[in-house]
Amino acid sequence: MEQETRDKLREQALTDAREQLQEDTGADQELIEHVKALDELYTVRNTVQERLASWTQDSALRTRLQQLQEDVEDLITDLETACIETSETVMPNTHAVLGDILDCRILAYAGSLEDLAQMPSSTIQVLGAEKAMFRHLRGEGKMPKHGVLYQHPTVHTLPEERRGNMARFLANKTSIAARLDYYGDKNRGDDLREQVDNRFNELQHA
Amino acid sequence: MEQVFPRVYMHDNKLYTENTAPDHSVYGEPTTTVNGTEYRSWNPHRSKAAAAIVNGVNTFPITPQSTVLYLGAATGTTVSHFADIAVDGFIAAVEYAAEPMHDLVDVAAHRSNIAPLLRNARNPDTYRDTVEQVTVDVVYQDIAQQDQAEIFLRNLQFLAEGGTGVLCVKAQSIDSAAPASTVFTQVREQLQEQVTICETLRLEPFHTDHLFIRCRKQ
Repeated sequence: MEQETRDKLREQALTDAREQLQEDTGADQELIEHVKALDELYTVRNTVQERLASWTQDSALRTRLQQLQEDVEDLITDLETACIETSETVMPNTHAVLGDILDCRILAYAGSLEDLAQMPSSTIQVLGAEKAMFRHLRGEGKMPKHGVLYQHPTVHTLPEERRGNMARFLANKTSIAARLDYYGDKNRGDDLREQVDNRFNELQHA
Repeated sequence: MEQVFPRVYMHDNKLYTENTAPDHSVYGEPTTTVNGTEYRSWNPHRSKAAAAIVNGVNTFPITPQSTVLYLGAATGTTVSHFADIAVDGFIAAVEYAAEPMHDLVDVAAHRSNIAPLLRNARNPDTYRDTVEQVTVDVVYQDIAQQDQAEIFLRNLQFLAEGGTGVLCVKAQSIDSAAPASTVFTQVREQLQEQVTICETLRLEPFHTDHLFIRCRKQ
């Protein structure tokens, strides 16, 4: 059996494998990387700002730290833009319901778009409040009403006693949105967002 | 450096293969240079095949001329050693998952006798066109799935009559509750229809509840 056949076979296999690997890179994983980096950069931004605030002595090193501050700021802007643009493409429905960045955060907690689509909405409701949830299950404290979903304007703006209701509603709609994004190709995001806003209005004026 | 099988060496109670991609370590394994030749350490804790050799397998089916269909190539650690051995042979390495495939492609790029295939070994049709271009002497499988025996049988079609099959059975993947010996007996029975079992060997202490089965296609 010819060496030439084998060489060609191997070349073809290498090319095919590389191509397939390119296509298969999960776009949702990219989003998660971005948002994790973003959250870390927010911390960096604050820390550097604090340090510069108490650093009075002028020096070349201080100037370098200021440069770092600027660079961090630019990177934050670029990452935020990337998150928003990519999530509009990858999960338009979820993006419509949850809004900028929060959709990526929820995705990061879930682990993947597939996981987000398959998990019960009650899980989505408390994603991010694991510490409180498991503590409650072990006997201490109340069950959390919301995790990272608290950040949604419709949730934290409401009086405390209504937030649970809103968080549940939002989680339910997020579930639907995630399933549309993962399994289908329909876009009912605007409609879903409208339902969320309507519920918010009801709860605000009840 | 003593040769225990063609192109497989033992030195200081450790197993080695000659590095066919010199100055390049595949998985951070230690290398030794003896008499001007570089050898890569073959770790039985990582590689089922190495464990089989250390545990005294009578016949090691991978030879310098072997053409191997390797199912479950993962990141290419064992594949790289097979490639070091089969310098006049060839290895078609099938792996289903993208993550390890990234590493496998690197391994294949540095050696001239490996073709990586991102395919599901449950569907041999998906790589039939590639594999049928060569004559397969050995089908080697190390896949930890419940239907590993079925997968093996389905891939024997590529093996010529009288060719060698090697199946690394992981009992826990098939039935985590049953005793390993029971599982191994069941697998042996399943295989009898298509192969004659030549040798079986447990891989303790390197791999718990694993059986290395070397067989011949009827």
